[in-house]
Amino acid sequence: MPDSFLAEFEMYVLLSAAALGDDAYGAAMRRDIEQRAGRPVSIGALYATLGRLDDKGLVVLEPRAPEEGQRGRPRKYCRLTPEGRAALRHSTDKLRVMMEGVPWLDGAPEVVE
Amino acid sequence: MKAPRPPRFARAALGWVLDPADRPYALADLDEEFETLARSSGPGAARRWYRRQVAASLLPALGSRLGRANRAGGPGEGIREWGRDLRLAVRTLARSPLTVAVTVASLGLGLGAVTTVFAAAEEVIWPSDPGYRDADRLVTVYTSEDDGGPWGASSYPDYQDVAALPSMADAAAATVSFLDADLGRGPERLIAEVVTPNYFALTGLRPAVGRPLLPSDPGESGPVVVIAHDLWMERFGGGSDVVGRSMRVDGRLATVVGVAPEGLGSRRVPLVRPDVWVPFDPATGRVPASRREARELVVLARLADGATLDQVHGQLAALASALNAEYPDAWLDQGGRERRFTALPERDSRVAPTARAVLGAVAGFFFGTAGLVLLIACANVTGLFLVRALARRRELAVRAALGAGRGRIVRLLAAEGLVLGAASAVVGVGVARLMSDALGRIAPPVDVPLRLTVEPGGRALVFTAVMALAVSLIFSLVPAIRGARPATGSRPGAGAVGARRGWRPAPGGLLVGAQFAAAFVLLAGAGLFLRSVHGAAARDLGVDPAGVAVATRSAPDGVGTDGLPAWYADVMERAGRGAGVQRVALSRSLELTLLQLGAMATVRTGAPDESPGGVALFANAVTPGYLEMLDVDLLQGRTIRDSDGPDGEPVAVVNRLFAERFWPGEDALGRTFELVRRSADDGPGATRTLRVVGVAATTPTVDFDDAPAPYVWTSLAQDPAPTVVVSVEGPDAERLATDLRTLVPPAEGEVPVLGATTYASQLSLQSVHLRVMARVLAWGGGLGLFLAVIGVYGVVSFVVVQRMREMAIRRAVGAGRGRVVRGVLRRGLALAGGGLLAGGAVLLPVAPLMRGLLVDVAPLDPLSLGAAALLLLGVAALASWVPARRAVGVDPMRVLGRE
Repeated sequence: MPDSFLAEFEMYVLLSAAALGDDAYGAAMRRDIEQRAGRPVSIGALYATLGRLDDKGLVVLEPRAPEEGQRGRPRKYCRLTPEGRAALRHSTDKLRVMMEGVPWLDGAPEVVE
Repeated sequence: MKAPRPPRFARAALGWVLDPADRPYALADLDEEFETLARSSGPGAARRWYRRQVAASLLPALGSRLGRANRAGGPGEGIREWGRDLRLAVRTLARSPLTVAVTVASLGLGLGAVTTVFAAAEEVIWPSDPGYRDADRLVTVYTSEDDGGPWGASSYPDYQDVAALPSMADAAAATVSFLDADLGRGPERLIAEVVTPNYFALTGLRPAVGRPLLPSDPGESGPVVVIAHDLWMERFGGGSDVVGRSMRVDGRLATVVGVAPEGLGSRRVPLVRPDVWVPFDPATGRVPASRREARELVVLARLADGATLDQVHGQLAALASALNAEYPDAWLDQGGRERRFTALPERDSRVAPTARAVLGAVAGFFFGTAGLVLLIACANVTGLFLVRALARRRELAVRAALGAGRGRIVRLLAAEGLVLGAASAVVGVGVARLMSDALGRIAPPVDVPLRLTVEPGGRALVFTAVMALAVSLIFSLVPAIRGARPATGSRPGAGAVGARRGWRPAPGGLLVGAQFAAAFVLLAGAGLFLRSVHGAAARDLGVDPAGVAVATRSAPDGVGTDGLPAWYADVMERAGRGAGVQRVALSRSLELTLLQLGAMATVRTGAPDESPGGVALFANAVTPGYLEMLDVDLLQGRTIRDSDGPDGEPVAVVNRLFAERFWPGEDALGRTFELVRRSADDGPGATRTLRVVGVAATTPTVDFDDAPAPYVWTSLAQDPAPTVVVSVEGPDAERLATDLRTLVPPAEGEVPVLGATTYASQLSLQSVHLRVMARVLAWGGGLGLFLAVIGVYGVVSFVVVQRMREMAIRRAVGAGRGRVVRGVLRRGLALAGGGLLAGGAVLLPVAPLMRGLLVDVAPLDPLSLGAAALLLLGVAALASWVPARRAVGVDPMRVLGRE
């Protein structure tokens, strides 16, 4: 059981990696978080966080040599470890529990026109 | 237009701070997104996005790296201590924003200047690796030149002989040529590297897209071309569908078969990046395939398995003696010596040794200028910090009293230096970027699409960082050591020292003097070169360019030597149709311009002391009326006439130096001599015996730096050339130039070396290097002046503040304001004057070294030196006057009351 909660951005990164699955590498994750969460994400912050998650054993980073169609650009893929899944589950569960105490947080994102 | 590439600076900066384990991946990620964005929103938006990404990434990346280093243990405690010192330094510095601004601005400018020069010189110092396969088995083979210098180009037949040596596995040859192309935007001129078709196979270079040139090119399917990566990005949007497209090259449709690797430069001309690579095709005649004296190729050879460099040298020497024996005409040089081959490993020949010397000298000049600017900046900041250290004695004494060791105080000051150095480095990189852009915009004033790309890359950034570190350690530690020593002895309440000791030299005085000395050297140099520009313009050239417009034209394919007279007549007739044309003439070359280079010839007069190879000189061939058009001053005999046609006796007009050199003390008229043409356009051994019919006073040289030399004019009808200069004279040369373009358009497939222009503008090219040097020195001098002003202002201000009390007492006992101001002014001027004397002492031995570069100006020209000195004294006075005025503006009673 993880002894500490995930920071917000760490949670975003883990969620994005989990959602992208086999396609989770730097640029894809950066774009994914930026587009879905609507917050600017710098590549430096992403890699700093990935490094921290890696140190904690929550993700495994797997550098891969460039493949066909990538114009010679190597990628570093990110996969959740069982510990990573557990930590993500733990943090989001607790978040959900905490949200239930707030009636106007009914689960649907607030729509701002 | 530039290829959509991520901003290099930003990219390098990010690469610098990223963890090495992440670096390639994070950069690749950004590149990928940049490319997508560039395609959807345009390169500008993509660049802005990229810079924002980098700006937002620097801190997290740095933090992550430091964090990892800390977690890794070891120097953790040290890093934390440094972190504390750095934070304290930032807080301390934030309290004196003016010091920070002056320091960062001064060092930023100085660092920017040296970084720019470094970036420009980088390709010469460390030529980039072209990425050849097994490069250590490749050698470049040179044939010695006319003057005996070893690093010359080779002819095609000689190249074939070299390739056939047993110690060579294979050899390729390359030369650079211009060709007219149409990529869908109308005709334009491209730089082509013409290579033997095995060039890519020999070097193992792999194309970015498509296939390389193959030894079988050009095959059945017609002309093929490999295009440069830049051209691919700019014109074809980087799409892979470029392969198979056709483009019009020299009037023929050629198929694009591939894209060269990114950044591939020319093997033949250093620092030039060709636009296209085309296979050498003996049929097109772009390179003379059968003539041993036409040396235009650089030869790159691969050693055979097991062959050593010694074997290669031996076989090349044997081949050279065989060629000397068999083809003495082509293989004896000007001095009558046998030519030889020289092989150099590929790594050492990326920039040809001859070019290296020239470029090295140019780089040295720029480094000297930029170095002086940095020196001034450094002196500035050191002075500022000396003053600051004195002013901070009280604070440092308190720290020492509270138990801070000397090491700790030095470290604190060093931390301040590091913070300032880092900030200055960032500013310096920005300045370098602006300067590099400005450099790139100085297009060479030649009608040729040469591009100078100065892009400070990763190595330049490291260079800036190292320089900034060194400089900031100097300016922070010198005062730190001086400041830390007596601090413990001073009483905390003693205030700043120097306040009670009268006119003691201010601490920064020596440094300000040094600044003025350096600024004086720079400004005086700028003055000398400016005067040289005027000297060059005012010089009597012996030819009169007024009212003359010129252009080069080549006979169309298919006009043989026999057809040239008819083509000449046609060109002259058409050029004569221009409005206001008074005279039309053709010539092989154009006096005093670079077009003269094609008119090399060898002369043999049979004099007993003559070398067997003859004497090399320039020989123009002209139509009747040409010498009159340029107002050449005839001393004896006649000029070229209509009767000097193909059937008449070959004649020549020589200059006085020619006559005096070959027939000293005798009448040259009626004498005969042999003239051998040497350019690639002429047939082999085109030897003619010419009779002297006139002697002229004029001595046209190619360059102002050259000594006067013998010169010959022949009759173009008797000494024909397929490429000629068309000259027309009339009241309005600009207008004539425009008419020339339309009346005598370039022939199909012709590459005009010179577009229609005025002769006067061609002549002004001769002094272009003087103007560039004057401009660079003026920029350096201006920067130095600016920094020196800040320096003198800072020191005088400091002294004024320190002596506020004394001045107040003086005023209180009756000294007038003027007297006090004059006293301060005197002090500022004394600093500047001392600097000028020191600068003069430097100039005295150095300036005469520039004599060869200056035109009609003495190295110690009083006007240049005087103007520079006056300017410096003037700004010194102004920079002292301002703080002096401020000082006397304060009520003396208030100053004294404060005590």
